[in-house]
Amino acid sequence: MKKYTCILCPVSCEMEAGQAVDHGEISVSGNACKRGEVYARMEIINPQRILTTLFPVTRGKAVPCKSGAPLDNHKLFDVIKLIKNSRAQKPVKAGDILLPNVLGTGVDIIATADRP
Amino acid sequence: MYDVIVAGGGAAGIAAAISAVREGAKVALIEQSKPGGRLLQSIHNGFGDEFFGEDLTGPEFAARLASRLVSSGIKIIIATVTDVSSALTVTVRRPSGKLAELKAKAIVLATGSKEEPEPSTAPTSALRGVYTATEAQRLINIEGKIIGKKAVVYGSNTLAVILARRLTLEGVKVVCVCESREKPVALPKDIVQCLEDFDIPLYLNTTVAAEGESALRGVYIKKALSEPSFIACDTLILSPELSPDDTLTVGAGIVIDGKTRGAEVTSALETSVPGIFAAGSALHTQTSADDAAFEGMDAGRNAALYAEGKQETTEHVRITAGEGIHYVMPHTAPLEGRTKIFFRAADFRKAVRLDVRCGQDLIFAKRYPALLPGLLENIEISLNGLSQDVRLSLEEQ
Repeated sequence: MKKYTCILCPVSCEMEAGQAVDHGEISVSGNACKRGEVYARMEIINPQRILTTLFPVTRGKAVPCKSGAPLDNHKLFDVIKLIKNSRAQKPVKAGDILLPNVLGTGVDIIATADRP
Repeated sequence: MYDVIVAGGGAAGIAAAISAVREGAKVALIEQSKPGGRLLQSIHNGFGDEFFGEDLTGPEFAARLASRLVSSGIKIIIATVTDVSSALTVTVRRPSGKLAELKAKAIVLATGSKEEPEPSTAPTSALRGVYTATEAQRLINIEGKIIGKKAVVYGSNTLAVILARRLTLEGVKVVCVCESREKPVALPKDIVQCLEDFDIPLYLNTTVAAEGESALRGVYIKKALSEPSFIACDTLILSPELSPDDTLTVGAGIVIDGKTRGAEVTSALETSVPGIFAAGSALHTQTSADDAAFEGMDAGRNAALYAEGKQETTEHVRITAGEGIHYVMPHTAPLEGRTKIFFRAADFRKAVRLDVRCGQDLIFAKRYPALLPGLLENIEISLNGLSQDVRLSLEEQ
């Protein structure tokens, strides 16, 4: 069993979760809601996070962006590298897809502010 | 003449203006630049779950709130509020430098918080490469500046750890985050996703002193009972506690809570000066923009009711913070209906019981497996028929 701190809300539930050696069922305890259980399972199987950073813009200030869904943690820095080597063209509107299906993850990089 | 003037256009201020206008009030919202406040430079996600039912980044949360200002009839005035008086006047300085006095039937103070650097770090803040957390966040996220190669963060509040992650993602090596206290200030979920995820060490009981002539050369970090050690770095982020910006509150002669550094308020969020209400970080440290927005909604609605002369004047009982409680909110509440009381624990506590007493009588108790100082808790109780002050305290289990 390993300890996990849920990151999904301020309560920060301290959970214990583990998987049987034969890759059997994952058991989770200490979570106050269902979301915590799902989170702990993912932490064991494949930790993921929403990525937020700045996306470079040609002849303008970089625009804040986010991944449209959580990305595998081990791919975060590869995705950042790709973002920093890209350039968005103005005008950019919040919600615009800046990089579709980034690195084949099925997740889009989306602008979260306007650059008119 | 406005019914309600809202000073400050962050999450609490915008929400206050929107809810006041919903009550039929004629409303002005005063903001220095673009509505959105600190949210505009908080490009990370984790906002909006409670208020919008959706996970949003700061700029998205701000835009979604601000979109409700469009065609709401709220007058948006771009200016700095320089003074608020108990006669319900608001003095503003326009971008041109011209001063103007506005009159209202009720006022909501939502001017946010300020950083108060510890006096010991004051001399170092003049060194090139030393930034306060708010300033660093603005430079990186709004101006798109790269502020260094190797950084140390001093302070462990939410902003400090969020910045440590931001710097790391932007390619800056964050050597460590140092905190002079025994426990980090930020919530465990933020320690996990901002520091542990990126293997950024957190040193507790550790103080930091900057070293350099005109530019930062590095820092000496000193753990309790050990010799200082030198870390070469070109960037030092100072992230002191944020406390309510009390300039306007003090100027208006409003009674201040020594713990929150914000106004003392009734359950309607009205300060000691009739007709002046407060909400958001201007009132007390907020756990989230969602909480600030909910508080703003309450303050705005109550300000509109006051402006209409609809606020009932009933007898109030005083609510105070006892053993183990950092502060309570509100400070007074009417003796009828049910009252929601917010509180923060003074320290990290495990297995405690919250007692609410009126004189010697225990009127409410609740057990908590754990209480975090970073988390604003709340209870809902009836204060019907009480004759003495109500006191919240924590008892060991």
